[in-house]
Amino acid sequence: MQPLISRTPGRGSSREFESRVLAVDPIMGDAILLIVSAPERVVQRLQAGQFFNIACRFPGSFDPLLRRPYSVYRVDRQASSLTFLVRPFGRGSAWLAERQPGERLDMLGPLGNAYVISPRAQRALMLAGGVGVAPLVMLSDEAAERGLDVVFVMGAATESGLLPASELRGSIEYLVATDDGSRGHRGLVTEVIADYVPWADQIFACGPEPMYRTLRAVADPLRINLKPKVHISVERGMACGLGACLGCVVETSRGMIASCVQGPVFDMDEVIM
Amino acid sequence: MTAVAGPDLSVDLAPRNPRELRLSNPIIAASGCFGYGEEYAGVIDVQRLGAFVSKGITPERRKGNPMPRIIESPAGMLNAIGLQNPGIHGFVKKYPPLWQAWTVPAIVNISAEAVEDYAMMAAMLDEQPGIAAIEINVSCPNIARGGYCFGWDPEMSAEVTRAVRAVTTLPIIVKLSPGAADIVSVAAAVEDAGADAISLINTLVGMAIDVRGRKPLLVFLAGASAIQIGTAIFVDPGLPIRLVDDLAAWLDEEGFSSVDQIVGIANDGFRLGERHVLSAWEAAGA
Repeated sequence: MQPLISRTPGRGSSREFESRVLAVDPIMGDAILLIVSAPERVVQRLQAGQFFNIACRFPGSFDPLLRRPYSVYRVDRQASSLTFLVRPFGRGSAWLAERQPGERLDMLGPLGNAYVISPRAQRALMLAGGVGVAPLVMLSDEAAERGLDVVFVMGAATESGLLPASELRGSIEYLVATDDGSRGHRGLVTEVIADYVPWADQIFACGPEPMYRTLRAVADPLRINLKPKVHISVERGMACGLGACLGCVVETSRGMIASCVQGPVFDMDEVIM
Repeated sequence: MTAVAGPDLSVDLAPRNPRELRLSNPIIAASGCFGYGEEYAGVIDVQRLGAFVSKGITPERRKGNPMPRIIESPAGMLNAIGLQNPGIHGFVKKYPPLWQAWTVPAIVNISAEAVEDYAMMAAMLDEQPGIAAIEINVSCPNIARGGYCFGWDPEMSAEVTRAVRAVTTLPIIVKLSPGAADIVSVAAAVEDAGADAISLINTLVGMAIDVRGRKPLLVFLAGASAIQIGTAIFVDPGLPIRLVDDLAAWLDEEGFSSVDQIVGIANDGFRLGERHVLSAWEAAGA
């Protein structure tokens, strides 16, 4: 969990900052990669799975009111930049997907906890559904750098929605599934992972909630004593992003937990779904 | 940066209470929108607020409502959090010790469904360090009266206030319910029952909240001694601190030396020159 209290109680340095759009690159059909500047203090401590709440409106406007949470797709610590994967879907993401280089964005973050790769892990299975691929790209970079064997499985409706293989490190084994069979396995990602569940030391997933229910159904019979551990990132609409409003809770065996602070990454076994 | 030589922004929300509720400025983070203060500690300088109000605390721990709890509306939001909180016993173990080291006054919001439960919580809070005042949320169903909302009825609101007053000398703020048929008579009743201040108002039922900026100034002119900032904090956490600075700057420009000088002057046209009124309206963006 990210420490929320600075050294002097109640007297913090601001996690709200203005960033500048550096580049916009199309990817995965109608989505874009939005590359933005960020302060060095932000990129240095950033971990895979953490997110930023981005104000998706012009300065002075209050509509749409709530910031939108975006987990980080990639970090460039030398260039002090962050990359987000944005697919126009609702009013906020549509606004964000139209931004141009040079424009300014009001950011709050980094927020939330992170995916943690165990120091003992040697083999990682990553499971991505659609734009849920974003934090797993950053995580797979880290896993590859640490020398882990990584199997990366991605599912999308059709071929154009898949992550290009060139976005992943060369050492990573990349498998895909599409609903229409236009590329890779025809069907769900969860249908191609059976061999890899017992193989993996850790499983990391990010996608829509139905994917997690299927993942649980497929993986649980193959896991022994709930190993390997499965960590999932749970998406919730939210207001503050700081654990104050409690509008983004996830029901767990520990109670109602704010997904913005004690999540978005959860041990799948404790999430009630 | 604190305005050292600037106008006096301090206000006392409980002038008739020997314990006072003296705030260094009149900007307060509203209950429900600011957690327990620590959540915003990494984002703004919490100690610069006039005060903050905790999330609503109940006699027992509450799990809150199922999701979804928040729905965005055009330029606003609806919420149904359901008073998720650790309960008064869990609360007193955790937060008063933390707040004791803080300089910003912490106000505790309490909610209950029976008069004796309000009193029980107030009595517990009275013994705690680190608490500046109690804010009573009367927008709760009174189980003894078939679930009729305390805050809709002057006598029921007064009964809660009296019960709390009887067990604590802490300043009491009653947060009035917008559902009251006659909110003025509720305000008068709770004042008679021992409330030091009232706050207006709890969340409107099923209605979007307007967060458009700088209206607070008008609220002072209309007679408020302090203002609470709610939903706007979620999307613009720096807003309350900017308001403190803006208020000081406006007072300075207009030649006022304290907030006290502008409270209620819109109701007293003779004390406020036309120039000041226009300036306030412009500053408020109205």
